[in-house]
Amino acid sequence: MDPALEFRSVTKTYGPRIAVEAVSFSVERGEIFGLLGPNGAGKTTLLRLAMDLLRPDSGEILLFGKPPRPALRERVGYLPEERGLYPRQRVGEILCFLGELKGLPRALAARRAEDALDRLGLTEVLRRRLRELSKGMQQKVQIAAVLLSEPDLVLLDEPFEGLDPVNRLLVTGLLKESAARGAAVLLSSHRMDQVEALCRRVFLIDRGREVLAGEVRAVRERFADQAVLLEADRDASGRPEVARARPEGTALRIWLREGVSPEAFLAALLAEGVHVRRFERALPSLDDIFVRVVRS
Amino acid sequence: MRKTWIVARHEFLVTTRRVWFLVAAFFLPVFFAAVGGVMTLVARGVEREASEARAMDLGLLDRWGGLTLPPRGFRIVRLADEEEGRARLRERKIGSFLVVPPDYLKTGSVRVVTMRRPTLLTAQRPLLPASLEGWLVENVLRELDPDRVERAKTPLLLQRVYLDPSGQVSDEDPEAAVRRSLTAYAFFLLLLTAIFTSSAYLLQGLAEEKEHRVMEMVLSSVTPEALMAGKLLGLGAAGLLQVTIWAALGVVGVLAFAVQLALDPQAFLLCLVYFLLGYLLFGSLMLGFGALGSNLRESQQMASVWTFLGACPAFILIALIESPQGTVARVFSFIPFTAPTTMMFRATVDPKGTPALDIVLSLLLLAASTALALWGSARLFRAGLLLYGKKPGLREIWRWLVAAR
Repeated sequence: MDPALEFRSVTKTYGPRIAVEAVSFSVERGEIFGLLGPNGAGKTTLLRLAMDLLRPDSGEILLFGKPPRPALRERVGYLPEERGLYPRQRVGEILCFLGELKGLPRALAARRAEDALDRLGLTEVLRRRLRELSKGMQQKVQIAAVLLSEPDLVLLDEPFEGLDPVNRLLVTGLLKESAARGAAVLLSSHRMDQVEALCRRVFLIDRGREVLAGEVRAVRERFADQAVLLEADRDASGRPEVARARPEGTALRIWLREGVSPEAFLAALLAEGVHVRRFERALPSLDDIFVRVVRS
Repeated sequence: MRKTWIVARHEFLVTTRRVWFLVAAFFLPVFFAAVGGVMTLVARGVEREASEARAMDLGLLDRWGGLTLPPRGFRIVRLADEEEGRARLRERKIGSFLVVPPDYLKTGSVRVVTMRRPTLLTAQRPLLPASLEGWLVENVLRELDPDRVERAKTPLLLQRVYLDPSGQVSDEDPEAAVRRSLTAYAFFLLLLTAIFTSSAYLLQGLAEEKEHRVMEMVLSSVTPEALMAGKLLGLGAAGLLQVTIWAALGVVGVLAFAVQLALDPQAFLLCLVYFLLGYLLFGSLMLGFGALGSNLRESQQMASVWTFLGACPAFILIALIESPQGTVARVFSFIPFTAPTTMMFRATVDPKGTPALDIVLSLLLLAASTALALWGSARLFRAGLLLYGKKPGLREIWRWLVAAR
């Protein structure tokens, strides 16, 4: 089956400025994919290219294996970075209108609007005007608008911006459900910590170019160094096996000297009667990896 | 097409449900009618007062001595001197008095003495009884034949006879031309009002959507071209509805209008075509250039030049009325921005005299320009929709017009 979205060596410039250069990646159906990078890296341009709001200078973009035609947009749910809805209109009317534009019959759009709001805990806002809602509630209405048509491809630009942890969890659940029913979900964010746990694969971009790409676990393994997380009844930072250490939450992140394996270090600790409550390999976060790669 | 219809319906419903639309559609005409009613009442009051004053006795100090015939239609009180006249005025026994000097026959000069001051409403009203002038003529010409006196009083009762180009007496109603001018003027106002009302809605809606960042969400489902077309249709319909409500509230005007239209259905049809093309031309330009602004103020600035061009024929209105087939009118008929209003005027005022060549050429130029405006505006609209916080320069606008996305 064709990927839901595919970029093939896509380049886009704005006058003399290169926004995106020779970018290639694909998003498969049923997966949550992370498009990560700092502000101004080119993520929004990539999403606008995918939505056919911009045209590439070179390369090819495929939606469900075909060039992005207007008719294919009905199968895509898009939450842009620059987003908002009609403040003076009632939430139900807005959702119906957007649902109809996605090809839903009016009655079905109305029913889906109620369902979507219900699932986001916003049942009571159906007849309220958007401007009467809090910013967080408005953002949830926008997400409801995106998921209303049960799209086959969901493109979300900074979807968690402005959401509190409870609502973030709620939205995460909905995205997982979308992926579970076979939709491809692309999350674009500069907050790598917020999406790395959710995504199977990621594509890191900086200044329009690919920095690295692949499965989250594999990427983190690839950049894993000799570090472990230790929670014990005594401080181990001064031990001879330890090159350097820093506290990380309730644990201590320890970088071992060259030649010292985590297994040997744990054995030494236990042999000395240290009471170990937690010991695990510390994989670097995508944030750390990104900084390392960009700096190098 | 289906999405264009969905956008059009949405825009129409949202706009026509707004409080300000309802206020503008229903309250404004009622307000103006109320203001008109108050003005009429005031004017009637003034008129009543003036006619009461005219009905009062008129003082006369005849130093010439020739005003001896009895007056008809008013009463006079002969005065011995001015002092008596002033006293009677103060006591309100007379409304005013005339002082006719001894050399009246040579000078015709007569002084009117009154305590009444002219106001804005009464300045143009006659101060003296209407039959006074005739009475003066009768007195001056008393020795002559009564028929001659009567002729001197009303020397010119015109009966116009119009000939057609073959020299035969024409059966046309000469006043029809005047009525046609009024119809043309009504059409002119209707088109301008509809264009500017709809354009105002177009710009307002667009600026609001840009300010509230709605555009990109909507564009994920509909092409910019379909969005633009939907807005043009929906908001154009809203503007037309408003104008229709205004017209319907002035029932008399509508009836008069309908009678005129019935006179020349061809002209009406032609007006309709110009009306639609004109709206599409101006509406698309407003949307295309309005999309380049980040807020209502900027959008209005970007679109204002088209508003000005659309209103240009108003500056040559007199030339259009007096010479609908003149050079100025013809030139304005071939300029796309002024063609709709100018041609509507010409076709209505002088439906038979407007050459078919002028109509065809003007329509072709207008249709081509409208197509070009729709195409160019769609490009600007597309480029401008995702533009926030930055006003583009002319070079940038040109680049968007000629380049792809």
